[in-house]
Amino acid sequence: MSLAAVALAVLLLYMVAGTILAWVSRKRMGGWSEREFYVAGGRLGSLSSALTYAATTYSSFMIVGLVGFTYAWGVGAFGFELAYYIATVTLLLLFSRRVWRMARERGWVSPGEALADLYGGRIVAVAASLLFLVALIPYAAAQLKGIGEAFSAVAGGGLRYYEAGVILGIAVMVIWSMIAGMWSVALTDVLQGLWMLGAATGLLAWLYLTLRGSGLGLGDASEILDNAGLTGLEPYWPLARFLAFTVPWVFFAVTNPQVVQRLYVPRSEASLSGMVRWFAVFGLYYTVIVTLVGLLARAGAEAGVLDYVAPEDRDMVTPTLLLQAPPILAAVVFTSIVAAAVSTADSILLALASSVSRDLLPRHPRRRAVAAGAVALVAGAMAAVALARTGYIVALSVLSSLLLLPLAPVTIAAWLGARPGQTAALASLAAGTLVNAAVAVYYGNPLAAFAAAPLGVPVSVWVLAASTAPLAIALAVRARR
Amino acid sequence: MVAYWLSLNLLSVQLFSIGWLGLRAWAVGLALLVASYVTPYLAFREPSGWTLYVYWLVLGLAALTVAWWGTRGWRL
Repeated sequence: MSLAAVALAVLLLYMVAGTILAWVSRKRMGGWSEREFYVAGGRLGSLSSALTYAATTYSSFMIVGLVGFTYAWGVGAFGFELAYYIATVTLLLLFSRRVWRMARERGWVSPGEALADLYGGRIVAVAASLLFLVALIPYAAAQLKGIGEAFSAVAGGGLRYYEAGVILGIAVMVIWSMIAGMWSVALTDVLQGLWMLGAATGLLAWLYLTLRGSGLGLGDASEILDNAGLTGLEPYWPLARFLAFTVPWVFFAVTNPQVVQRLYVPRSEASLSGMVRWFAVFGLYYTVIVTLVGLLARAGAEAGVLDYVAPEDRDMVTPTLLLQAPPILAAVVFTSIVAAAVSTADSILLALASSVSRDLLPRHPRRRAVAAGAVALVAGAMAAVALARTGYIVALSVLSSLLLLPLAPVTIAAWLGARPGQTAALASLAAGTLVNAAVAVYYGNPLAAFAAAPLGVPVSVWVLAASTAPLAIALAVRARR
Repeated sequence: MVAYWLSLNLLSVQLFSIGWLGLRAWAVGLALLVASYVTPYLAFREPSGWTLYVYWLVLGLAALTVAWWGTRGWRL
């Protein structure tokens, strides 16, 4: 049986299982309301909360992008992802209980609503929602693009298969989102999260056994990686690059609405603490497995055991591994790429739809129609961008974390109970966004802007400083009075 | 190797101190985040086998421990 046939059979199995789970989740939906649809009425248990948090957070970037990064740039890529992990755990310990309590007391559904409530006016929510749309539609479209490219590669290439993959991806996202909103998304995320873990573990086990079978142990791998200069920070991870990558990511848990919204869903404080604990287990395990895959793949390639991929083509490392793996394992890992993309993109779809319906069109009387329309509108925009198949989508998705970074000081100030005021919050968002825009225009393309370090300081640090300054000034002036 | 063992010892001293001093879990997380930047750039710029990987892995395990304990009553 060919790889394409096995891959399509496993993909079909995943889609059928997911659709059954989504349908089953309808029984748990307590009638139709926006709170039920977008945040499951705040009634999810520990495990489903943890797995939806993890599956939403970890996109196809992990099994494709991070494997490639580690292969090309070595151990520093593990440090970059680990800095994100430690920061997320810390932010969850610091804020999750406070935010969860406020969300229950005040009935928050969208992340913008929380800002409107804490800043005392809708204008901050509107500005934040517009920023979410600009930053996250390309990011979600890049996930769809990933599905299209993977589909096309497995089916033998061609635009027809790419388009079929994108349409299939958008159909799965919309169906799983519309069946029962957050309920169906969370339950399918349980399946997808476990699939992602199982597939990555299988890939690592096969890789390790393949290397061992060729007489290559961990000690030999370490020596090979040493000789390639991949086990220290130099030359691939100068401090400016490490900061450029990590600064936007350490605030991911605060700036990304699809992740923030997951703080509203646990049904009790015990469920919330279970969510944090199990997410911590998932995150560390997945990060370790994925980065080991990248490192061992490089060692195997350098030793001639595996096909060599040039470091500049790092996104091809995982697809190349799949072509060498047993077809059933390759099919499971291929489906895990689709699962990782869908679990991230459908959560973004739901978060953006809640922003449109709660923050941009809050007074419309037909709420259910507005919710359906918002999902369709956002999904259509994602599909249109993905079907354009332009390269800049990938660049913009890298940049999305940078575009959302100005939201970090505004959100953290609000969660801490500081009251810098609406004007300062808007000035903060505008200042960070202006720095982003100015650097993107100056450097000509978003990727160059992301890696740039004007005056030796990464752009992300400038954005953070620019968006913190108005809030700090407003708080200082207020304290003097 | 000296830097590696020094880092691990510093980390264990830090974690034991936390246990005894009863610091807030998020403060420990913040200390771990700082440690994930500072020590590697002081000690692991050059190739060092699996040492840097293990160092970061230990920090990750420490963060996992903090998450596990920190959410039981929400303080260590």
